[in-house]
Amino acid sequence: MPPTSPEQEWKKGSAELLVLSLLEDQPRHGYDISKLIQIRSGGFLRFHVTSLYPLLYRLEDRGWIASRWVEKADQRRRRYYSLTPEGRKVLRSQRKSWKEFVTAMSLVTGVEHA
Amino acid sequence: MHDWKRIVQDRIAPLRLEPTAESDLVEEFSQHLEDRYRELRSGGASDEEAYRNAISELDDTYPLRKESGRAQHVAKYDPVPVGDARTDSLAVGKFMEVLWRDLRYAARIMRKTPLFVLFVVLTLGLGIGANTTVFTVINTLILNPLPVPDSSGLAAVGLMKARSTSKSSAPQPLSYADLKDYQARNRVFSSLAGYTSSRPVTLQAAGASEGMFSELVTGNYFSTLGLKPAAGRFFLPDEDTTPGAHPVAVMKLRDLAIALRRCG
Repeated sequence: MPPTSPEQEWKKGSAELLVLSLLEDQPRHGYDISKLIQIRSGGFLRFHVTSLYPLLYRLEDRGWIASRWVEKADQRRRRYYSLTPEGRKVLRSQRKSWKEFVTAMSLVTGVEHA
Repeated sequence: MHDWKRIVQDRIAPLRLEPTAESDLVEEFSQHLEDRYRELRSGGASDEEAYRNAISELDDTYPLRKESGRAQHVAKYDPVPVGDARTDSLAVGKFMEVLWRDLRYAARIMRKTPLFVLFVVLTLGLGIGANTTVFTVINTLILNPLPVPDSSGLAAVGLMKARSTSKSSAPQPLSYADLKDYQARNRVFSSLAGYTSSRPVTLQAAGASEGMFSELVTGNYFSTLGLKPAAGRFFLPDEDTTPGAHPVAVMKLRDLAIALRRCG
């Protein structure tokens, strides 16, 4: 196993929440999810293809997201991922936990949450 | 244009994914890399830069290796949907390549699960053996029975040692002298006839010759089988009693017609 930086570890811990959050409003394909994570995090967070898709498959295995291949005219087919009702519940729960975690971290470290 | 599918296939080949799961992964990864490449190109990157950048996404395969066990489960989609580009690629000559990869995968799986393979082979062997036996019986008794009126009343008589040490238990043929002896003492069968194995002979007529197969049989051969001639007659009772007498033959009507036609 390759050595990991703290950023990588934090990213790993929050990856599920990131993906679930992005799928809350609408189904998205993998590249779309990857781009949004990069853009909305200001480039700080970025998932490579080899880590994003295994994560998506894992979430799908758990029944939190569902996928289907979609073919559009003049385009290659793409697999779109969407949030399942179970995933929506998990998202709510993870958001709550995350807020509590960040608050606790701020209290201990003195780092103000933006 | 870069062949993203080939690039992805080469990178994930060592993961030894189940073919359908691998096919889905290749599809998604190559699509992702192509999107990334196009985006970089539209942002002003050169072909080389965009290619290197996109391909670097595949550098760290550790997460994929870690999740490859789960990735095996992604094959719940149709492997080659209608309109998929892969269908065309198979059609233009990649069929053998895909077949070879599948065969290698099958061989790897079989090496990993020898007990399962043994079980499958034994199951198939027993199944095929049982089917063959049943078919042989049905074929002999129902589909292609002997062309005699009462085939169930026929029995082949042969010689066997009482304490045979041979692995083969096939009956051995009788001598003519033994046959005569058995015929004289027979109290089991209504009739006992003798025949030899098939042997080649040459029919000569009108200066031409025709090769065919024959059997030497006793005079009561046809009456024992309960057959009636389609034309002419079978052997008369005294035609096999005098050694060296003029031989008599019975031919299949079809063979006789062919032989006569060839001999003019």
